[in-house]
Amino acid sequence: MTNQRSDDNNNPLLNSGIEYFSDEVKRSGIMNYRSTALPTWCPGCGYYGITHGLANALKNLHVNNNNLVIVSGIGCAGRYPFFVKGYGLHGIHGRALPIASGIKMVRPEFTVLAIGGDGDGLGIGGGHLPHAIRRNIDITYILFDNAIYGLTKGQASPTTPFGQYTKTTPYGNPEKPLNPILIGLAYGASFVAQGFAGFPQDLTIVFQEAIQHKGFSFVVVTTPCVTFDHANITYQRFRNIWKKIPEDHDKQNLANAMALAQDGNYYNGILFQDHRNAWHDVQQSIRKNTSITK
Amino acid sequence: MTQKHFVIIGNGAAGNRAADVLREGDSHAKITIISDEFFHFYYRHRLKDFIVGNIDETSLTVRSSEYYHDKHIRLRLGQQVIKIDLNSQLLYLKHMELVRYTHLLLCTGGKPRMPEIHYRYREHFTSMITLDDAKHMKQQLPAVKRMIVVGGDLISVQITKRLLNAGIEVVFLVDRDAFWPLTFSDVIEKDFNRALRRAGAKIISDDAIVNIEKLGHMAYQVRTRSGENLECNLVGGFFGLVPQVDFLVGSGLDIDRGILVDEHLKTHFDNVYAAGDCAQVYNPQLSNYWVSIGWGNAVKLGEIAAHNMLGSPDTAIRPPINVLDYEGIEVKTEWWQEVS
Amino acid sequence: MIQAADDIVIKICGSAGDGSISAVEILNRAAALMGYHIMNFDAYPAEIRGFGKSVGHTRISRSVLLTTGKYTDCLVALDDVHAITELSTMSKRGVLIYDSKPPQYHQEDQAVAGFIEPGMIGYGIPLRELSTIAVRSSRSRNIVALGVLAALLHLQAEYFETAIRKRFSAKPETVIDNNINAFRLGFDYTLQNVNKYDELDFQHHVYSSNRDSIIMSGNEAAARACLDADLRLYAGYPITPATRIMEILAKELPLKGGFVVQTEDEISAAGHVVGAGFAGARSLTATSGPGICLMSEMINLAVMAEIPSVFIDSQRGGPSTGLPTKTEQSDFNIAAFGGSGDSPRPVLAPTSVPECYLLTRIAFDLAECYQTPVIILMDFFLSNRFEDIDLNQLNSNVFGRFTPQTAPLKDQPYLRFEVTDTGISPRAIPGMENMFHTVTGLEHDERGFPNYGKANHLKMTAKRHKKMETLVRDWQETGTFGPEGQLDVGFISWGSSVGAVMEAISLLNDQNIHSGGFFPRLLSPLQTSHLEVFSRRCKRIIVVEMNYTGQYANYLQVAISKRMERFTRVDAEPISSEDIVNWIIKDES
Ligand SMILES: Cc1cc2nc3c(=O)[nH]c(=O)nc-3n(C[C@H](O)[C@H](O)[C@H](O)COP(=O)(O)OP(=O)(O)OC[C@H]3O[C@@H](n4cnc5c(N)ncnc54)[C@H](O)[C@@H]3O)c2cc1C
Ligand SMILES: Cc1ncc(C[n+]2csc(CCOP(=O)(O)OP(=O)(O)O)c2C)c(N)n1
Ligand code: SF4
Repeated sequence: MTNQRSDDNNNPLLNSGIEYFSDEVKRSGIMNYRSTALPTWCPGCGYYGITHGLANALKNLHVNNNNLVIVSGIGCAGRYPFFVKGYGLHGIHGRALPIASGIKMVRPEFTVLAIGGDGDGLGIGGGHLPHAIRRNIDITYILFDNAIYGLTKGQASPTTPFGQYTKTTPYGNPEKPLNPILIGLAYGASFVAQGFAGFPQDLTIVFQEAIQHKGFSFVVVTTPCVTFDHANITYQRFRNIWKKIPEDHDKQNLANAMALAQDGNYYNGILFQDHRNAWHDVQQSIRKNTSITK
Repeated sequence: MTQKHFVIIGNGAAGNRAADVLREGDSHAKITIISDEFFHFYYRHRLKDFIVGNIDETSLTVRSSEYYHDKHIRLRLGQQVIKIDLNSQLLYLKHMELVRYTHLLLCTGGKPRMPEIHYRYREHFTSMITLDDAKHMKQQLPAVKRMIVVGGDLISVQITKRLLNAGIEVVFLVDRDAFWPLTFSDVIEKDFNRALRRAGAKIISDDAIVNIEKLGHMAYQVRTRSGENLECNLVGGFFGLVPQVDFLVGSGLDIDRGILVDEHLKTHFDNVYAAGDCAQVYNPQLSNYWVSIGWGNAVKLGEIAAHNMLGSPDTAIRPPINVLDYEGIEVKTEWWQEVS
Repeated sequence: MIQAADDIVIKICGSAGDGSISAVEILNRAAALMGYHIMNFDAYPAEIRGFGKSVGHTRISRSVLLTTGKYTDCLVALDDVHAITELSTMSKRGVLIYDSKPPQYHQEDQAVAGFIEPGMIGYGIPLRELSTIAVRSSRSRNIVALGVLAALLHLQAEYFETAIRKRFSAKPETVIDNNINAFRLGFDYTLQNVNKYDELDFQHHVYSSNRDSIIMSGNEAAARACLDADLRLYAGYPITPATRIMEILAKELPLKGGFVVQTEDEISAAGHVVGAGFAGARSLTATSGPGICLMSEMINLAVMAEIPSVFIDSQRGGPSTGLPTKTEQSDFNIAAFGGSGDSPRPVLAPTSVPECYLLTRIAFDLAECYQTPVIILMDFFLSNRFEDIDLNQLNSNVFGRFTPQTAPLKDQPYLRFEVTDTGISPRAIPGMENMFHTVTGLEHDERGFPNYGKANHLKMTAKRHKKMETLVRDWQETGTFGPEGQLDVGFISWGSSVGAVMEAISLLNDQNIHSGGFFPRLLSPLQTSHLEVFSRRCKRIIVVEMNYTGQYANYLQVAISKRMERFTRVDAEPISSEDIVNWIIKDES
């Protein structure tokens, strides 16, 4: 190993954060899915809760670390791969989905997660979402929706509510926000779910289902940016507005799912899921039908 | 008014001279020369030296393409006129293109004459009028040991001498009817025989061909009236030139031996003229037509026709008879001149 | 220019639908079967629809071909009006074959035969009539024309029949018979009725009927290289002139267990390629100028995160959408420098169809060995020209041997970006036991963790450049061409222009203007020492390329002190050897 440089000392990522965790956490086994690096997020950021929920899901599913690949875009959310024990690709802004798809296509045995913020996935990278959905490639896309540009310090994002003040909308946001859940349904994703960073246990369940789902799973996690958003998505406001998905909701009924997505409530869980063939299955069956072997 | 379009059929001495004069007199008109030969305007009379390799192809050429570019004369080579519609002023080209003219000049020259008695076996004769013929003959010559020349025109004499010089055995079958453009006389025959014999040819003068048979590739047998069977590699047929007017038959033009034109070289169509070897020109003094064969005459007639087409009247006069020593033969003719 | 009687440029010209292109295809195949070399570059109609002009353009020769030839020696006119516009490219003693019996008379100046320049030779053949005899329509007059060509140019008929059979192998037997009949009618008619005046003559020679050559375009060669290199994923977005590569792979790659995905745009295509490369699989995309612009950020990521990935840029006229069906070499700058920061990456430029194959294969090795994106600069001309190529004879070792280094499995922590003498860090890929790491487009330390320290940035920047120095050292090909010793004129050129320059060099040497060339296939990083050695040998140095400013010349000029001259052209056509020679001769005299 080469010499440690002096400027490395300023790098929080290098100061292993493992020892900061309580024994209880260590015993739980989720540290098997955490790298030695300490997250760089602001204290209180919703991303910690998501991380916790995901690590638990990976643990429960006994995902093989060697086959775990996390691809992210750029943003606070984009830092995620560094904190996971597995292989990671911290790519470029908005392009997590194409890269993740490329990985999955050539290594179908991998568990591939794509992660990015709302700016990353719905703004600059919004064009890739319908196509990843169309292909139904078997990856899990977790959108960290904090309705703000976090990393660049508080500008409006595609999900920032109308009228909200941000650094780039000092007179109030003149544009209407996108509804990511509705978009996912409208594009025809085979798995659409949502959750809240403040409910890591619920997230674990959703993530488990999403990872196990054969096909493209789209999970939107609403998450507070405690540093740049004090008005919209806050723990106080959001903890109480989440609803359970109605008992009689038929997950396979797209119309119902779309109705829920538009009724103004936040529903915690899986809104839609169907079991059509994933990209590799389709490729396989084309090959079989056209007697292309191998 | 539509633009004038002078179309000249024939890229020989007459046609080219006419084009020059037309361009000098009218810098705006379209001028087109059409010729079914592929080659540039060349000296026909030098072909004899070309076939035996005395000169190369470049020294045959009178003018290259730059000349025509400079003068804005469109030269259509390798294109044959197969029909003329004098009423609609349209030329039908063999490659199926229609060309419209406002003024037409026919300078189609001559074609080999083929006496009727030889008609039966005409395809066995080799003749030499065009560069094409010459190239073909040149290609064959190395394989020729013996050639039989039938005829009596001036070209046959020229060629015979060159062939003998090239070491080819030549049997010359004098055909009294073939003397052309000369009329056969005892004096001429004596001259003829002397000149050829001196050069080394074998002469058969009082016999005649009855048949020619092809034995194989470049192998012919010539049977004569006296019963001789002569074998050879080529049979040359040189019976002179006649005006090339085949394609005009039925066009409405008056045709006798050549295209009948008045002393201004105009046909009875106001905008159609003829000049050179193909024309048969009216002579008011003689009250008769004369045919002119020869380079110098062709040039002169081309010039006169052009003047008339431009609207400045000019009259063709019959050239004086001159006497020239032709390959050792004293020739009296108004037609041929010594050209180099 | 007729180089020799058995080096002939042939064009078959007609309306789209007249079969010009397929006739040339058959001609090429027949010629290749007889052991001739061919180079074929068809002219695309400017408009996609309608009855635009379509010209098959091929050159057939006994010797290896470097260009498609500037002047046409033999033009076959299947459509008179279109063919007239092709006459300007005829050589002085060129041959024209036209239909002597069109359905009706042409109006004045609508018949190609009416434009035959003095010196040229026209043969009128009743193409339609003969076709009608053979197939009861004029459809097969392109095949009749092939019969005429074979008889006229003295090519062996039986090879054409084999080629026709092959071309129509998917069709019913009667179609094949009819076409062979059409061919024979053209052939026999010509033998019996045509006096040959021209000098074009292959003399019935058959050089070797068992040469293992096939005819391929640059795009096909690149696609074949992908297949042979065990490509796993092709991701792409259609764009002329690169699309053909994707179309071929879409058909062939699944047969070899790989995948082809048509992405929503070039960013996504590049993303898929980088993703697959990160996952340890060979992946590639092919695009043209507008696409490479979109890809440059992803290419930069691959530089920074050291991800093997291969990008083909088949250049066309630019900037922007530019001239989609015209050739140009104006993407050197973006290929070598596109993107932000100091982002060195190898740029390769094949000079011929066989090299499209070789360099595409090599590119995968380079990408893995140096853990980098590799850009291959082809262009419209290379992509679409066909050459005979013998894959068995091709040897990529001339460029060097490039073997990737895999990290030994060892105890943590694994240093993905370990600094070494060569700059190359032993590589682990996802799926390997315990070699966890995250790569990033952020500046990072040896472990891969983001690090903005200035010493670290310097160290890692140097490391990335070090890899390029190592590559220059490993690269075996010197790129020099022509005689040794002092040169009056030294040419530098790259890519598809090299053929014309090589031809020009031999023409100039014939005229005692001592000349030679330096034609790097590895455009960047620069082989500075080869360039220096070459430049010292030259009185004049001239850089030949198809762009306006001399992009490559600009790049080279900083490396040496001798001033370089530029022969640059953007006339939407390949540079010709004649143009170069004339330029030099004007200067030298
Ligand atoms: C071997 C030889 C030697 C000669 N030696 C002499 C000599 O020493 N002295 C002398 O004075 N004369 C000589 N002549 C004759 C002289 O060459 C001709 O008289 C002269 O060339 C006639 O010129 P012209 O313009 O009338 O026709 P030409 O030169 O015959 O030109 C007529 C042209 O018209 C073309 N043509 C004809 N019909 C058509 C058509 N339908 N469509 C398109 N093109 C057509 C012909 O192909 C030809 O090219 C010789 C002739 C020959 C063949
Ligand atoms: C092409 C490009 N443009 C802009 C940026 C700057 N940038 C980095 S992250 C980001 C926005 C991040 O917001 P979001 O995706 O919502 O993620 P968050 O930081 O909120 O997690 C921007 C604009 C960039 N990295 N790349
Ligand atoms: S800026 Fe916001 S999103 Fe980013 S880490 Fe801080 S709290 Fe989280």
